[in-house]
Amino acid sequence: MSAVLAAVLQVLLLVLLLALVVPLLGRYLAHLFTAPTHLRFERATYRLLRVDPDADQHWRSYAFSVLGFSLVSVLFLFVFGRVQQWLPLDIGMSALPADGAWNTAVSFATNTNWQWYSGEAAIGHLMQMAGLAVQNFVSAGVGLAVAAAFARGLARTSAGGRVGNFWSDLVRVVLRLLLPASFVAALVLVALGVVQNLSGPRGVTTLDGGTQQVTGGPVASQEAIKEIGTNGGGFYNANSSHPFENPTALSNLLEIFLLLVIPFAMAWAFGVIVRDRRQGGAVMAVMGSLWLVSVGLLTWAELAGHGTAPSLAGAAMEGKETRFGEAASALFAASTTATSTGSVNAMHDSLTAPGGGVAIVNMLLGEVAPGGVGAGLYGMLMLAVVTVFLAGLMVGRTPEYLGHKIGQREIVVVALYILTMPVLVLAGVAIGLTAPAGLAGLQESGSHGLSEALYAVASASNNNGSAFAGLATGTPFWNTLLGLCMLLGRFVPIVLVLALAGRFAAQHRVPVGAGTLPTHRPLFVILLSGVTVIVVGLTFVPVLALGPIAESLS
Amino acid sequence: MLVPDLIYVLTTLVAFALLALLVGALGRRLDDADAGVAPTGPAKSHDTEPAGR
Repeated sequence: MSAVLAAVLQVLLLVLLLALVVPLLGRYLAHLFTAPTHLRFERATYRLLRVDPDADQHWRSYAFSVLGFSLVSVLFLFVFGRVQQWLPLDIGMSALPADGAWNTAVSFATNTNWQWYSGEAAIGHLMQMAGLAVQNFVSAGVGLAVAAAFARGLARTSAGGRVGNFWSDLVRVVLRLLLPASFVAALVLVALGVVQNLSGPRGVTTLDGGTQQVTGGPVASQEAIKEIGTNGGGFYNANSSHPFENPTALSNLLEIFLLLVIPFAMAWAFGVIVRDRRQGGAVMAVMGSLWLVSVGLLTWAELAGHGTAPSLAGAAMEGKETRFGEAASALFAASTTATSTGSVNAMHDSLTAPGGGVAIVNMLLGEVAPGGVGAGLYGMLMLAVVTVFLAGLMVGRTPEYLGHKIGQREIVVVALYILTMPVLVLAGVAIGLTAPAGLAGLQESGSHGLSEALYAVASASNNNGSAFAGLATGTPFWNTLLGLCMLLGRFVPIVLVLALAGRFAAQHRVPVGAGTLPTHRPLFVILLSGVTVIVVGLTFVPVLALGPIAESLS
Repeated sequence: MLVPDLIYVLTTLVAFALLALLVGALGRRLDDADAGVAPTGPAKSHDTEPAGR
């Protein structure tokens, strides 16, 4: 079978699986966010947390709950990293340095899962299970909760700025979705060969007589939520290219499916929540189109890799697992960078220059195609508001979205949202490449060096978490800079999204009129796709020209 | 050993305090302006006119 045919078939199989599961999961998610009754074990959790799950929170109260919960998460994980050597199951690991513990705490509490360390050489089993894995669940839950609040804000009118209950959203999504789904996925992964034990480092003799330390651990349970929650932090440094995390082509396809399924299902759930499934379909069509274009471009770039070595190998095989090949690596790379997951099954630094450029652009689009769990939906909806506004300016249509007027104050909030990420990325790269401490970590010069720094800051600011490598980021300077990018890149947009949700929920409904732009038709899908690429993508053309584009042409 | 820990804890607290201030500032700007939201009813004619007219 030719590589091209294999690439096409695996994408078709993946699309088929998603088409089967997304509608069912989308309906379930919508039910989860709108059902009035609480289950018994949920009530027990609310009593433990001492919260009223039936209180319909004003958006400010909702935002304070998100921030308070995340602050506690960061501080708890920071302390965990500093004292892990004194805790059970430390398997001989020492305390993380202060800058590293803080970076890790922020990274996992923001659903980024950027890892400056090698998991198997720095983190004990208890911190993996009770620290990092817990954050994998709840940070994903926070993203889904915020997206649900935004969908509710669009579905409601004259509700006085009330957007739901954060604690109810968080508890439900963790207990009714993420935990059971991860449990089943972990069992399937174990059946496919992923390890699950509490073993420490073990010395083994290799076939050529050498010795090697091999670490076991609770890998499958971490692997499942790593993909389902679009977290991405691997148990091992090699992430999903390690045979203990991702042993076969089947486990590889399953992991890609897991990281895509909830982001797409959230678009479906959005349509159900606003009582117009066509709206969810339009959002999903934009997400799916951009994802397919990115998969196509990245696969083409890797299969057609130029140069002596790729020509001899038949494709750009450097940095890729021969178990998967270039097509499965390209599909994984495109999907993980388009979903803010950040897990990898190949060395992204070894992607061809245009292939690496596609991965960077995926992140710079703001992680909306289909984006992270929850974050992808609210990011795309913010762009939909921009699209309605721009279309209104161009053709004289009334700027309104789903019965909500887009006025000056609404568009100011959206503009702040759109500007936050570019400011973080461009200022972060500028600081990183001008400060001596930042330059000290750079291991490449020229356009590739710029690409490495751009990739790292874009990954942190968009809460992706994958690394290009080639940049020594385990230093106080980079840990602090990237930690701030992760923190602000996560919570500034969340605050703005909730503010707009509250604003919409407070408005009176504007009836559909002759001047209303239909937001469920193919024309809107094309407009929204164009706005996503142009408004967000073009912000970065200069830096992309100096990085991956210059490298491609050299 | 404790000084770097303290610096990072304070950095976290300051960052979240600033985010809380952002919530408050947005609340004042947006929630006080609810009265300015268009009332129920059809879009006004000037809303549908092309820009520049």
